[in-house]
Amino acid sequence: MAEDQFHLLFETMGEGVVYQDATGRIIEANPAAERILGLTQDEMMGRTSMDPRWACIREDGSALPGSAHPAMIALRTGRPVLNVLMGIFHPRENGYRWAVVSAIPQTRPGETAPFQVYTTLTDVTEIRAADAARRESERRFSLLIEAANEGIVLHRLVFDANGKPLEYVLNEMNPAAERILGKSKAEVIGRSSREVYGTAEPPYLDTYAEVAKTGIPQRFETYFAPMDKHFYVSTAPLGTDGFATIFFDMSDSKRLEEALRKRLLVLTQPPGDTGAVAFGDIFDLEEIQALQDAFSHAAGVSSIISDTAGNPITRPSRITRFCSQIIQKTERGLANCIRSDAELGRVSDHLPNIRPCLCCGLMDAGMPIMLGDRAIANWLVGQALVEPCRENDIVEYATRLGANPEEAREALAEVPRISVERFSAITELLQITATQLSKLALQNLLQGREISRRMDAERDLRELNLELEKRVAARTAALEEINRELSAFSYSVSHDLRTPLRAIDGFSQALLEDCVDGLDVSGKDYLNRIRAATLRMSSLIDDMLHLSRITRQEQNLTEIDLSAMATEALGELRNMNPDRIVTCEVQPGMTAFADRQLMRIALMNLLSNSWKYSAKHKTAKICFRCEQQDGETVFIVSDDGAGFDMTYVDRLFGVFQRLHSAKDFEGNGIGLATVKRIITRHGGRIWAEGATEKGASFYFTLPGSKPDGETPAPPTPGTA
Amino acid sequence: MDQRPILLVEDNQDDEVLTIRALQKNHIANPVTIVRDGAEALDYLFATGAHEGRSDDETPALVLLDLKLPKIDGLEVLRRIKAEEKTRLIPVVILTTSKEEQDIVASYRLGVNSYVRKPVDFNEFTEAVGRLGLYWLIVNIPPFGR
Repeated sequence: MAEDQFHLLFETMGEGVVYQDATGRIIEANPAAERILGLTQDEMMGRTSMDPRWACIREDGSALPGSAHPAMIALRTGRPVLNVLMGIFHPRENGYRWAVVSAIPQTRPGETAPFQVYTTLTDVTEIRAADAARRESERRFSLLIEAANEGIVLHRLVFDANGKPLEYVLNEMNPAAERILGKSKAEVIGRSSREVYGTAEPPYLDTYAEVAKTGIPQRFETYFAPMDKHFYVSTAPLGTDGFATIFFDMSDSKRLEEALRKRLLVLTQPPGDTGAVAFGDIFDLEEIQALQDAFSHAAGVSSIISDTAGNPITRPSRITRFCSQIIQKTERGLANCIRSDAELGRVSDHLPNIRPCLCCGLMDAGMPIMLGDRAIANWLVGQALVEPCRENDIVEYATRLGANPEEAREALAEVPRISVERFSAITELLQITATQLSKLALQNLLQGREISRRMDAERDLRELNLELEKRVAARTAALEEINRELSAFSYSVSHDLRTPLRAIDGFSQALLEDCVDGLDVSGKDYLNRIRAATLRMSSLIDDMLHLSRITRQEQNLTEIDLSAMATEALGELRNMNPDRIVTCEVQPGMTAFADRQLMRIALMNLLSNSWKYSAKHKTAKICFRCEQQDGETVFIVSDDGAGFDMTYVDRLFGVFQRLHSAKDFEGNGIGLATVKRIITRHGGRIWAEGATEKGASFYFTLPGSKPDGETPAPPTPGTA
Repeated sequence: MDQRPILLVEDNQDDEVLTIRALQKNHIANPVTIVRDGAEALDYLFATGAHEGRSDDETPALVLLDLKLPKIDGLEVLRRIKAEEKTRLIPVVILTTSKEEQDIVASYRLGVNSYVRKPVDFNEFTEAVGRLGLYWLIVNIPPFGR
């Protein structure tokens, strides 16, 4: 290699290179070495490896003395020292850099001692950090797996020559998996699933193979028959030939769920008699079994719960070998036992029945478990020898049934012997327990009935709602139809009724103009009356259309300032009749949530009514204010004009109803009807008070209206 | 003054007589052509059917159009007039009893030139006809000269 090429390499290579002379003093270093060591070439020039400032450490953190530096060893021994991992203090970073260091001594031909040594440094700081992070992450992850409540098992799939999955082997598992599967790590690791679970086929092989093949995790719930357990399993791929399962045992919750479902089903179905309800429908048999086992254990006697025919519902607790292996092994013995058990519970509803077994003579006690007034089970305890006992008779009975007398005697010896007092204490406990179960049974049933009743009520309510919705829809459709008809009607009224009126008026006019010579004064008067009546009719039609339009028009509710609106309306009235002397008072700050256009019409009608009906008085006063009455705001428009007779107040708001003659006050009786429609459409009410020649007051409410502030401001003079 | 005819589309004979009387009272001397329904109006305007081959001179200077018409209603007639290149520049005045907002809006959407509600009072009616005749026959300069 040419000198300049070598130099370029030296300058640019990633590895640090340092040359030291025979005494260990640094004579040259490349830029990579400057970077790794944190010193410039000038700074390190002349320093030896013995210099304490290097502060080198070993991998375990202990100090690496200068004499142990690879370069020094190489110089000393004349042999290369390769791949020593060491930490070198980096003064600029104020921390250690890790480097893999190799020192190669260089010897001139014919000499034995090296004249110099060159050292290469590979910076592994980052690699080490990443490595440490990975190790820490692995450590935490394995802690998590160890501590997890879910069972975790890692598996490897086994394929045949064609790549078809045949089996899987359990490779690793966590303590939870040991607990849930009931098998230790030592028993299962390295074994195939068939060996571990004792199944003919590897369980769920297809699913697992698919997960491994597709790389897509799956989840499933399953009943695993070989273990009689329900599992919830998540499975994830591990490479292409492995998978992990994460699972938990959901048998308990599954069983509870199932029992509850079944119980509700039974309890909620028959609304009438309880005849169809069985013991197992009301109680969780596993819980009852636990209770019965505990009872037997505490009392030291056998115990079983049977149905009213004597057939067992629960498994017997602490059954004696004498009963199960000797007596019940014979055909007659078993039949007798069942008959005796059935008899035991039947005798009394409230007190335990104690007496020797009808079958063999061991002492038994029974207590029925009731559902209301009907027994649904018998709880039997006993198979005890209560002193004094007649063992010989019992053995003789067993022998008659066909049992071996020696075996019978031997088995009988194992039967617990208890005192009369103790047995009566046990029966007392039985009574209390069974009575509690009876109460619980009834409670459960009543609760079931209640749930059933509520479910029925809910269903009825749903149906009723549905029915109501249907009716509302039908009613709405009918209303829409009526509205359409009304629209069509008013359209045709506006068209068809006015056309003949125009003809009547037009031809009357033509008659007046063209045949004026043939008409005398009264003839002309008649024609003018015809014309006046026609125009009045036309105006009535217009008013009616106007009213129907108000009823149909869409409302646009906004916050509106009624005070300002009224002041404006009164201003218009004043402009039309500048000669009238009218004092107007409008309470400021009255607002309402209403349709602006409709409310303007309503207010204008009310105020112009007041204006009109006070015209016969020399001076008049018109007020618009509000009051709080029973928590709602009542708006009042009042005047001191002609008023009205309260006798006819009912007719005031009717269409075309008038309380005054057209001669006195002109009008066609549509104004107040319009006001009433508008107020009613806003959900408000309107009423009136008045007296002849003493003025009238109109009261109305609008939902969502409020006076300014809580206390009504005193009325202030308006535009007058 | 434009002496082409006024096309009066009106099915009510009373209104026809009154409209002509109102035109005369306003000294509008244009001949008035009367058609009784929407279909006939279109036939006349487009010179089809019974009016096939009518002369171009008889193209109306103004159409007075009622809305409620037998066969084809006024709005449809208006739409067809305004849709055809040949007829869309003829001024059309809706002359009707209705002042239903829906009719007014629809008419203006279709490009009506005026919308006049026939008042019941004949004097007012005469005034209204006079105003629209004055405007559309005298003041207004049609884009196509004679």
